[in-house]
Amino acid sequence: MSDGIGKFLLSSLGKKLIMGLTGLMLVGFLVAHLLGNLSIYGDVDHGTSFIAYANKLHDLGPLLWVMEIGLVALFGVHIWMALKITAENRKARPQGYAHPNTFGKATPASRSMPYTGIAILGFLIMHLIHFRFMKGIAAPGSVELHREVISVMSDPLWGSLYVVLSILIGVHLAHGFKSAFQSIGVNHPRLNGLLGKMGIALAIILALGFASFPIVAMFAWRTSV
Amino acid sequence: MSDTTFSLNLKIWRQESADKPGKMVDYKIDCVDEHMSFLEMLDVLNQQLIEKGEVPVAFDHDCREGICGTCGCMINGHAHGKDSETTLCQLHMRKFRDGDTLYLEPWRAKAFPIVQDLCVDRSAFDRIQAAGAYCSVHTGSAIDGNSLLVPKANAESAMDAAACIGCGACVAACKNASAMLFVGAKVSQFALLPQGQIERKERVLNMVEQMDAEGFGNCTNEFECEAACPKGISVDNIARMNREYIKAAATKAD
Repeated sequence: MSDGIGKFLLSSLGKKLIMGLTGLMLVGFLVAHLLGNLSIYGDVDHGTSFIAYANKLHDLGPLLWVMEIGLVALFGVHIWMALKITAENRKARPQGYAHPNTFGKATPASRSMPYTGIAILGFLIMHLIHFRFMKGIAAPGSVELHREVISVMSDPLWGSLYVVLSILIGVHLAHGFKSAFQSIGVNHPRLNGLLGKMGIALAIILALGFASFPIVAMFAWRTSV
Repeated sequence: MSDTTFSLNLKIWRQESADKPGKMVDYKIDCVDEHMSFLEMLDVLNQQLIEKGEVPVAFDHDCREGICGTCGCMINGHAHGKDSETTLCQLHMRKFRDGDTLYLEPWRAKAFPIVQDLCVDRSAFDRIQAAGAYCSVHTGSAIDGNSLLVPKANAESAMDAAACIGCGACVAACKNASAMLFVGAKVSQFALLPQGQIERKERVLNMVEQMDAEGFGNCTNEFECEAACPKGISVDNIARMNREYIKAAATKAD
C-alpha cells in the first residue's frame, strides 16, 4: 500500500473507527473498575476486602504498569480524537441557523457528548489526584487508601461531585455505546435494537454503581468511620 | 379551487451574493392557498416583490415532482420542512396554519457556499460523485440479463440507497454538516451490486478522501440526516460505508 496507514486512520471514517474502538475498550475498563470497587462493600469498617483487592492489583507488579500505560494511551487517543473531531465539526458549519431545530433523533445525551466528555476528563484528573497520587498509596497492605476513599466519598462536597460525575458518565455512554458500534460498522436490523438497549442498561448500571459509593458513604458511613 | 386562503409571516435569509453579508428579512404574505406547494407560495411572494419593484427571493427548483433534488431550504430549522420524506416542492401549504411564522434559511455548511438568498452551491456533491460513484461496464451488445445474479435483498437495499437525489438535506440537518448519508448511499448502491465490484475498494477510498477535502464535518451518529432525508435513506448505509472503508483500507492492493 503506497499510502501510509495514518492517512486512513486520520480520515473522517478512520477517526470514527478510533473513537469507537477506544470508547468500547474504555467501557471495558469501567466495568472492571466498578467490579473491583464493589469489594469495598465486603467490609466497610476495616476495609479488608478492599485492601485485599488493592494488594492483588499491586501484586501484578510490572503488569500493572503495562495496564496503566495502556489506559493512559486509550484515554489520550480517545480525548485527542474527540477534540479533533469536535473542532472540525465546528469548522464545517461556520454560520449556524437562526432557528435551530431537530427531528427528535438527536438526544440530550448525543448533543452533549463534547461537554460530558470534557466534564469526565476534569473528573478523571480530580479522581487521579485523590486516589492515584495520594501519599502512602504505594505501601502494600496499607489501610490509608481505604480511609482516604471513605473520607473523600463521605465528604458532602466531594461526594456530591462524584455522584454528579457518575451520572454524566452514564449520559456519555447512553449515546456512546451504541454509537461506537455504528462507527465500526456493526449495524444489522437484528442487532440494532439490542445494542441500543444494552447501551442504556450499561449506562444505568455504571452510573448507579459508581454513584452508589459516595451516596452510601455520605449517608451511612460518615458516622461509622 | 381556492377554499381557504391564509396569511403567513416569513423570515427569509437574504444575501445578494457569496461575498456580501446576509440577514433575515421579514415578509408578510396574505393570499396563501392551502393547495399551493411551498414553492408556489414562494412564487406568489416573488410576484408581489417584483410588482413592488423589489428583488425576488432566489431559491433553487427544477422538476417540482420531488425527484430531481434541486429544491430545498430550512423551514424553522427542519430541512424541507418537518414532514417526513418530503421535498420542498411536495410540501403543501395545508400543512401550515394562519399566522404561522416561518424561518426560511439556506442549507448551512462550509462545503455549500451560498450563491444567493436560499440558493447554495452543491458542486461539492458532484466532485464526490466524480471521485468514484460510477462503475465500469462493457460496451457493445447487451449481455444476457440472467448471467448477472443479484440476491433479492441486495437488489432491494441497492435500490433504496440509489433513491438518493443528492439534495443536501442530510448535510443541512446534521449538526456537524456531515455528508456521510449522501456518500454512504452512493457507496452502498454500487457495493451491493455485481457491476460495482471492479472499483469497489478505490471507490470508497476516493469518495471519502474527496468528502474530507470538501470540508464536510464528521458523523456523530445522531441520525438527524435519516429523519430529514426526503427519500428515507437509512443510516445503515453509513455503517456499510464504514465497513467498506475499513475493508478497502486494509486490503486494497496497489
